[in-house]
Amino acid sequence: MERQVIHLNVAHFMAAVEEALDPSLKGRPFVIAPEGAERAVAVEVSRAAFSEGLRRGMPLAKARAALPGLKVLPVREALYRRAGAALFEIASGFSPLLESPGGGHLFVDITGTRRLFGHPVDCAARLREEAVRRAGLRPVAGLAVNRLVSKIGTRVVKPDGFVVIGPGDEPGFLRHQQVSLVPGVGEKLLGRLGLLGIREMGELASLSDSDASAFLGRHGPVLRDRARGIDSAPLSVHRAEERGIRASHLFDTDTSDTDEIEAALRVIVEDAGVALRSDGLAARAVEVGLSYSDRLRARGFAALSAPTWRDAELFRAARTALYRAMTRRVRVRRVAVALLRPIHAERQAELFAPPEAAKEEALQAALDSIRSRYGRGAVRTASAMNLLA
Amino acid sequence: MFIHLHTRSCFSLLYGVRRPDELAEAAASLGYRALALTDINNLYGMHDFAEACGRHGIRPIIGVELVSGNCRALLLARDRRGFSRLTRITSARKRDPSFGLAAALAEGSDGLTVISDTPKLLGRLKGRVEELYAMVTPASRRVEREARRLGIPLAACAEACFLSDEDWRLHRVLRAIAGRTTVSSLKDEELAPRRALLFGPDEAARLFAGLPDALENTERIAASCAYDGGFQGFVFPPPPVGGLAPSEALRRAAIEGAERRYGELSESVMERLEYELSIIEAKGFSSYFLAVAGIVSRSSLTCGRGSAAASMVAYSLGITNVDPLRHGLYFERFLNPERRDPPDIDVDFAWDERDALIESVFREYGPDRVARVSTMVHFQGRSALREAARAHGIPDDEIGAVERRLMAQNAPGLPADIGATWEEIARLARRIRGLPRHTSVHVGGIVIAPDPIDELAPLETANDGSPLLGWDKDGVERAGLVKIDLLGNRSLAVVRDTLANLDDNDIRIDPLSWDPLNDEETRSLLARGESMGVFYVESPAMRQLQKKTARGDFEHLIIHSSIIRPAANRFIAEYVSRLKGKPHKPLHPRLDRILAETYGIMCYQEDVSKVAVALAGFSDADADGLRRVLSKKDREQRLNAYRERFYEGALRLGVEREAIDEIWSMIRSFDGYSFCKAHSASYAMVSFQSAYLKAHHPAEFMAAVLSNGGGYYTSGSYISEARRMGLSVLGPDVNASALRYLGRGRELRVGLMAISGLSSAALDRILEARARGGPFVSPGDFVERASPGEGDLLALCGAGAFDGLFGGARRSLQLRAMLRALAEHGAASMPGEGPALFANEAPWRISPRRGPLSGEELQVEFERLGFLCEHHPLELWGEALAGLSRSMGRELPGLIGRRVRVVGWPVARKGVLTSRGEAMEFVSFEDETAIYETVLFPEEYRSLSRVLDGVRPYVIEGIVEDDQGALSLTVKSIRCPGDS
Repeated sequence: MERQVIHLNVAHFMAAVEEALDPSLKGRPFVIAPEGAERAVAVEVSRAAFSEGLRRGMPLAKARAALPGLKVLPVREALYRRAGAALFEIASGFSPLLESPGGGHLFVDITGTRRLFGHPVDCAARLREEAVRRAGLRPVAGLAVNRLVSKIGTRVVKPDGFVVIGPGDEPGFLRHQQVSLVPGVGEKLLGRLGLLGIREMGELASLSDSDASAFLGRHGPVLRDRARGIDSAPLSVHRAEERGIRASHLFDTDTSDTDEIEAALRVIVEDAGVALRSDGLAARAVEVGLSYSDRLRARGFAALSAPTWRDAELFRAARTALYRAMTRRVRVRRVAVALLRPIHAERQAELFAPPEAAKEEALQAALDSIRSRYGRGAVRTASAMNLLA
Repeated sequence: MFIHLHTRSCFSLLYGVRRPDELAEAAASLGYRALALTDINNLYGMHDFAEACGRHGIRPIIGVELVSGNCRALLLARDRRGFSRLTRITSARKRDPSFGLAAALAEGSDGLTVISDTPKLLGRLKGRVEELYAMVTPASRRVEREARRLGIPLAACAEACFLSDEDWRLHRVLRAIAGRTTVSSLKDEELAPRRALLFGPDEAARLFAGLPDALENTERIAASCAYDGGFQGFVFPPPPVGGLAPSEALRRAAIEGAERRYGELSESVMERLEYELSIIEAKGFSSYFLAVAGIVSRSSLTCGRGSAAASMVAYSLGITNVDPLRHGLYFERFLNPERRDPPDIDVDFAWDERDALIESVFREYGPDRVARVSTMVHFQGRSALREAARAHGIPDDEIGAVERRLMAQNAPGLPADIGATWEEIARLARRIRGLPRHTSVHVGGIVIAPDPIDELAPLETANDGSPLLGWDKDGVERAGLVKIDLLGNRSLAVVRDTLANLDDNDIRIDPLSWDPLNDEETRSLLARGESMGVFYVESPAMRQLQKKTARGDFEHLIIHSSIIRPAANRFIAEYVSRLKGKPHKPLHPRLDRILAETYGIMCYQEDVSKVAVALAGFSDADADGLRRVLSKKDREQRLNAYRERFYEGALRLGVEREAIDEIWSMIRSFDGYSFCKAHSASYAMVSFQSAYLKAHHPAEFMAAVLSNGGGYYTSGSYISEARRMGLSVLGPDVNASALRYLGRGRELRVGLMAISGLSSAALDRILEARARGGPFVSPGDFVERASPGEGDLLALCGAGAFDGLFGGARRSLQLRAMLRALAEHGAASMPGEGPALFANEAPWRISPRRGPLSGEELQVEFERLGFLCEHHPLELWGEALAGLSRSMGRELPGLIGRRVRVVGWPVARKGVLTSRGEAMEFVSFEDETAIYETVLFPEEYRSLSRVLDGVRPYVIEGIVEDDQGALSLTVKSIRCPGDS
């Protein structure tokens, strides 16, 4: 059976979400950046700002210099997460096979749903309409036989439009596209292709196996296949549970103060811990992610010797992971934690557990009950307080 | 009274924050009469410290804090013997991986006082070190009990590192820089105690009130350490082996050499030789001359620098190449009976021969008797800001952005909206600027001693493994060690390579009869200023001066290469006018004779001394002092003292104030650097040799310039110059190119060395395979015999090095064929694949022959070579420049006084400050037809210098001016092509 994959992409995602909430923003240049922070950079730019030459990651001061009076909105992470979830929710109505790489991208595999939702083209159009109607977001949409071609499709029509590449039309559609659109072709490979006189996907697609390997190395044939629109990989579908439970903190001002970073880590571990316990889960590993001032990222990982839901143990592991991640002498902009490989916890009392463990557990339970009544911030570990002060 | 015996200055690198003189001054003002300096594992600051103590009237105590493993001890020198031990142990700490502090001290500690707070060390040294003390401090008395048990006396010490509370913040930044971490991640144990202040005697009495014996001992120790690090006589290289006394050996060598130079020796030559030899002998410098002569004799070409070029002995020994008699060079500028400082013979060698030469010196004298001089690298404004920012966790891209903002601002101070973090960083950076950072190897200074050097001076190990003195050249000089400077010079290699290239082309120049000084074409080339590539006279400023004066003779060239100093602009203009006949009268009759040959303008370094003697009644020694101060970094203060004496003396001798002002301002034009006549003459000789080669053998000469990495300009600029000279530039070719550029007739062949990205291993294999098996005949043949990597093929292809092999097919197709051959070769060389190597050889010749190179091919060629072989790089911007109406560079001489629009590729830039302190800039541009000079005066500089931010074409508008016979475009606007 022919596969049918839709790629939805909301361009300038965060800005689009803001525009959906406040229609007066539409068509106006604005950027999203941390509030009040010294030396902040734009985390997102609106479409209008983009066409004025502003870009993501641009220092706010520079953006303001380019567009005096530029509107700057604060970063509202929870809001964007909700919007992403809403989009996911809408798409879930069409297929259970969803891949959500984040940042306003969503792949929907609607293979075999014709009887339920009609012709794939209609289905894709309806999905797009629902996104507009229910979430106020207007994604670019691409429909093709696989993830690869649908994604190239949306890149071609971005920032607005709907493109359908019917089965068998791939070669014709792809032939004159630039090779830079082939997933996996970065600056370096692009340079090499240029030296070989290869500029369009069709030229890459026509290489023989042996030439593809000789010219581009071991992965040459794979790249060549991509240029032919061949991609049989299924979507990488993850359930929320498998992805782990995440929380993050964005510093108002980037910092290299380890006390401050640890305090933030403690807060987000506690937040994630609440979510973990409320789902009745225990984590088996912790991952900490850092974004540095210069937008480089780093990750550190720490496995737990036994599954746990207790903040204290989670934090100890998170702290280990933090220092595995934090190897540069550059300020940190954001710290994130993921409680990984969760399993359903059997939270019965351990008969032979040492008394301290029982005490810790009682404390944890008491803290959680306060938090559930008065909110997450009602009780914090003392060392996390200066961050919140 | 308590004396600080444990003091760390900024020479405890990336730890201490105060200069030795600040510490000495503070100690003196607190009422101390002595102070020890004990930097961590080094003696870098010793001479500065001793000098500063002298200035502030306190007695220096020379020591070091040796830290090794878990042990540490203060080592203080009581006498010369103790200092020798100190340098020996400090050197071993730096150089010997198996160094142990206890063992080193147990081996001998004569003349040393040792104070330690390491119990284990005290236990091991008890009974072996005569003057051994246990350290107690206000913060810690942890060794007290152990010391009392062992019967070791106590000494009261306190680590002194700071003079104010603020110093601690700076210290943290330095520690973060040292540990490549951030200030907020530092651990306490990496830091000095916050209270490590240099406190006063009253505070000391209070702090050590409970330890009267320790306090008393400290006082006694301070009194016993009498070594002050002062000058104790010169240390010269050992005399030659063979029994002859050094003075006799030198006499024989000098006379033999003079006979080679002059033939039969005339009376005037003999007289001069005898005179020089008598002074050299009286001062004990004979072995030094012999050592330098020995080094020089091993090299292909040399050029003496500095005042030594005025010595006939040096000329006879082959150390220098200008006849001092013929060109009127005065020996006294080099050596005279009154001068107390050591002779300084600096010699230039071909830059690529120098390392081997220095190695040979090590071999000859033994590695323990030769060491290289170090140089201290200090934080500059930029590195201070950068490192302080990094210590605060600022990422490099943000640092770069702030730097660009500061640069664009072109004014001191910070932008108002920079933020608190950057203000703090900038504040700390201002203090970091000027602090020592690390040692490095002085370019060419070496010291040869008759005894093991580590008994005279501290040693460490340079990156290349050779022994490195723990002092810079000033420290070496203050210690009496006489250094020899062996410096690298590219132009000597250019001359050598040109001669070799000519030799290969069957053209021979006899070095003995070669007389470029009297060659008409050479003189005329120099007079026209067409001297790109010619040693020492190729800079835009120098070429402009040559054009203005239109003089190309040796005597004028000596003047020109001396007068061209940053601070002498005004006098250069005056010089040119006078040379062209402007009448002038001497500033004072007494100067008439002194400055006659330079048209009444002070030109040479020695003119300063001569004028000071003649006009202000200075003694020779004082006049020499004034000359030397002018080239020192910290001259301002000392110069003021000289100024007063100069004015006083001149007024007393009846010179008018106006004339004194004018002469003093001329003296100030020697600020920074300046040259003596002998030096300039020595250099002008090499200028003439290279100019001769450029005039008569342009292809071979330009090839040698390019092979040696050029000089003032980029390779691309020399390629353009070669094209302007009418040479054909042939691209690199795997079958025709050598490693280096080669010239023959009117053709210049680019060497494979020019190709960026070509590995040196592949380059060697290509040349070797070609030498062994002849030219490459096919892609398979090339891959088989030269075993290139993929990166090598990309580099060669992009540079066009296969154009010949492929009969000129498109380079993208060449690359495909080469990569195919490489893949097939790789597959064939797999085990078990059999020998069918060239099975797919047949269709490799690709047709049809290409037309002109495409824009993309040119772009890649430019990336690989840094220039285009057949075009000016402006070709790459063909589209953007099409339709632009413009004048060409070569038309400018006909457009004087007119406003023109030209297109230019920047080839050289030189920023200067006007007398009012405003920045302006001279920029040399070239287009397809000529190189031309432009000037951005302050107003235009402010608005336009930002535009000039890359190496690409610019559209320039300005007015063509004739400045004393040299053309210059006064810029009014600059923009990038395509911008309106």
